[in-house]
Amino acid sequence: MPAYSITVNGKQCTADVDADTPLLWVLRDTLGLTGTKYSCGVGECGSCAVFVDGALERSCILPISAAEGADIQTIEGLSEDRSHPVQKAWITEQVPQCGWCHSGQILAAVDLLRRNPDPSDGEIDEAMSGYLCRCGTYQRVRKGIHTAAKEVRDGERV
Amino acid sequence: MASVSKVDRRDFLKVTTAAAGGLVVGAHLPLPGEELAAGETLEPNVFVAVEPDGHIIFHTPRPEMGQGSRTGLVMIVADELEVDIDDIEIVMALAGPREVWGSMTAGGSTSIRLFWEPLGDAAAAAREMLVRAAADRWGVETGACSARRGKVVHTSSGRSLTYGELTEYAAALPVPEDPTRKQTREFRYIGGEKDRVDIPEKVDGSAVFGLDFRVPGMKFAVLKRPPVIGGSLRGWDDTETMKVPGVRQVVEFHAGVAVVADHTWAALKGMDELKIDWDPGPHADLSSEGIERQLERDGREEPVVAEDLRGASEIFASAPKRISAVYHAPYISHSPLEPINCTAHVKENEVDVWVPTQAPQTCWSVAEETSGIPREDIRIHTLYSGGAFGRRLTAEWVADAVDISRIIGGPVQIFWDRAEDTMHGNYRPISRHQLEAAFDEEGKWTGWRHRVIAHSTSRSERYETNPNWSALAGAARLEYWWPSALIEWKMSNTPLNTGAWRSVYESQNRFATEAFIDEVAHELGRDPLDLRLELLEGRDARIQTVLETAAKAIGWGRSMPEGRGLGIACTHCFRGRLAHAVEVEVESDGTIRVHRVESAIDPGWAVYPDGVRQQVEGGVALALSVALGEEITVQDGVVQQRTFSEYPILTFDQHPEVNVHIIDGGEPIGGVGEPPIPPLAPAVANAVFAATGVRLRRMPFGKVER
Repeated sequence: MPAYSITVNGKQCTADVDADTPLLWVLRDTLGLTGTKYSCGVGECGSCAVFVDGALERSCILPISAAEGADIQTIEGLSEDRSHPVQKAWITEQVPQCGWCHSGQILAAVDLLRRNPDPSDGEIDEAMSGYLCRCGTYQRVRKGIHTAAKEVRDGERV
Repeated sequence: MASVSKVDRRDFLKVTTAAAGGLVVGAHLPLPGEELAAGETLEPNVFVAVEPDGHIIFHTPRPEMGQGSRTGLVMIVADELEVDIDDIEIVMALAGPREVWGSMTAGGSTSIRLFWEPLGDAAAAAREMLVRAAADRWGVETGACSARRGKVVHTSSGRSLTYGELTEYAAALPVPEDPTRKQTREFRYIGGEKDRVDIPEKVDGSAVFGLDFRVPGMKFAVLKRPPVIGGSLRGWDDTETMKVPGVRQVVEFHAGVAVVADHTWAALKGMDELKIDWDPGPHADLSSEGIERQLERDGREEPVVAEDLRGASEIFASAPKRISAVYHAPYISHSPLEPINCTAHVKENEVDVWVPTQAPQTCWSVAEETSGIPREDIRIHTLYSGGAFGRRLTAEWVADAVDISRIIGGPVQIFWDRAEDTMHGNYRPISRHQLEAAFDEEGKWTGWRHRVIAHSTSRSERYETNPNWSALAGAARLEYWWPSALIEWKMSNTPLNTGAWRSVYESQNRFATEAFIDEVAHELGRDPLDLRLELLEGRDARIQTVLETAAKAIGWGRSMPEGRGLGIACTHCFRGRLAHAVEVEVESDGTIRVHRVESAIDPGWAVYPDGVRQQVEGGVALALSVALGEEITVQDGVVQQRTFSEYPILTFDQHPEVNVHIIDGGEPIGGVGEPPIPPLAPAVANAVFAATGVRLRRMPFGKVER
């Protein structure tokens, strides 16, 4: 079995897995990083989103062979201590209910704010519509993004 | 009335895995019909432990699935025990006997309201014993001391002792019969704003849900059940499957076939490669079309009369004028985002199960049945659920995991992929509603009739000839004072598997009730809000209040621009009263946009107000998702929906602005999890009518056809 090399949250990792193994399962089962979630396995819900060389990807449909050599950032890599502005905003605004979709929601919010630190509601809608939540936390996600955006505009790193 | 007792340390250690010393109290929740004989030893259920090093442990009896009960319950402990909430370690209790724990099932909107008394009493009793311990130590009256944040203070001298220093002495004292609970003004946490205790671990990926759980050496199994309802497994060809690296074996288990592997992907891939031979069984011709025809036929049969009030049957037999409508609610799926999963390790004489569940005790029974090992040797460890909504009230997957662990001789995590969950759900039952209103010669309203023809989850034969009152929730025994009322029931079952979907039968019956009230109002030329208030006059002022509050907030009665309308609906269920007033826009292509929802809820009073808000906001989203786009259909005996492309759930851009108004209705505490669901669909239907003149009588609404 070939060994794939990836950097995950700044750490060099190797995975001895088949080429078609989705990155999601490499993260969860091979590397033990269970923060990234499975909800549909077909790229429709966003629970599995992770950064691959800075771009947000659906890891459930991204084979490891396509991620060879990439720099991956998962929910676990945002901060050591929940101090990332989006994480802080999620706590301030009490965003998650069950929490399952929020690794994806948070990274999607991070992605949006990295591109646009002052998003309008319409821009938030567009960025977030592919991230499903069953518990109905969308209103608080919107609030959380606005709260985090303020911090980012005040100079906090996203 | 809850009875508090000390827990013997040996008993405490028997049911928990935490080492404890010092004072441990629990409370006995009397089961209905139970009486305590004089001198009878109580078995406490809810454990609050104060250890000699000052460590406080709260064993929470109810699973956390995002509904916030973990937080609401620990607030009660922190306040009554008089400690800082951050100093309490919360441990989810292992599944235990009903005589000890009462019901551990998180459902029916009961967690806060059923534990308010016993849990608060236990914590208050512990506090009083600790104060008494200090008073004894100092040789003073208990009245001269007070508990303050984990310490007892002697008021005049300022001397203090920590709970840790007092606990072993306190443990030897008698338990107060009638502990004094705090006054509202003394609450530090209850009734106030408090952050959820589990949110921090849910923003950094560290929270352990069922699917995240790991034990060394565990295998991963992907399961498949017969795609045709009622089908069975004939056999399989695993030639290609066994070639997938990581696949260990393919096994038949009690309900289908499983591919067992070293990791999840191998199991998924192996299942894809498996060539399975299914016997379709007796229901291969089942179709949604056929089910609909069955409901229509059964709707013409003689029903069971549930209510015949104020001469209704005579009135309907001879009414000169009437209006009628047929409403329809489809089968729907819970589809929580965390897929169905369970981890089990069956050893020779003991079993450990780790599972995201709403019902630990159901899992316990199922594990015992499946393994044949006595329940005293079975530990059910309840983990966080990634959503539930009623999905995780049953425990088929516990049987799956225990069965497969036993077969392979080691720990295994079983998992149903998204398609499997959608195809094999325990759906909300389908229902057809035949409504009629009768009027006299002058057009005065004389009668209300609602015939519920529904698939009944309880398939009991008794419902052929008796009303299923649970299945009539939201249709019968309502507070509305109908001029006369004929409520009828007809059971119409299909082979589909059904279960409790958040708010159960209220979610479909209330749609018909609250939408048809508007049809009657229209016929009478009456305002729908006014008509409801009149029907409730002298019957339930609290429902009137939630209606008026929601109506005021939405600006009821203002003139609306073209294509926009307001709608209102209410419910009283699960001890919560709630009204939604909505503003809806129907676009030129018929797309329904809900712009704003004003929700007024009277939950008695709110122990955890933000928890109430979360439940109402979340309930609106879930109910709107169902109203707009969800439907489970069947063709050739197979459920047609698989992933979110076939079963679309509400997306971010579809979510309205939701404003929650909490009304303090006083004691007793009511429920909040389910009341937000039933009135949402009818409020939207009513608003669409106001905007377009089109009645929406079938869920899912889809687009409005003008």
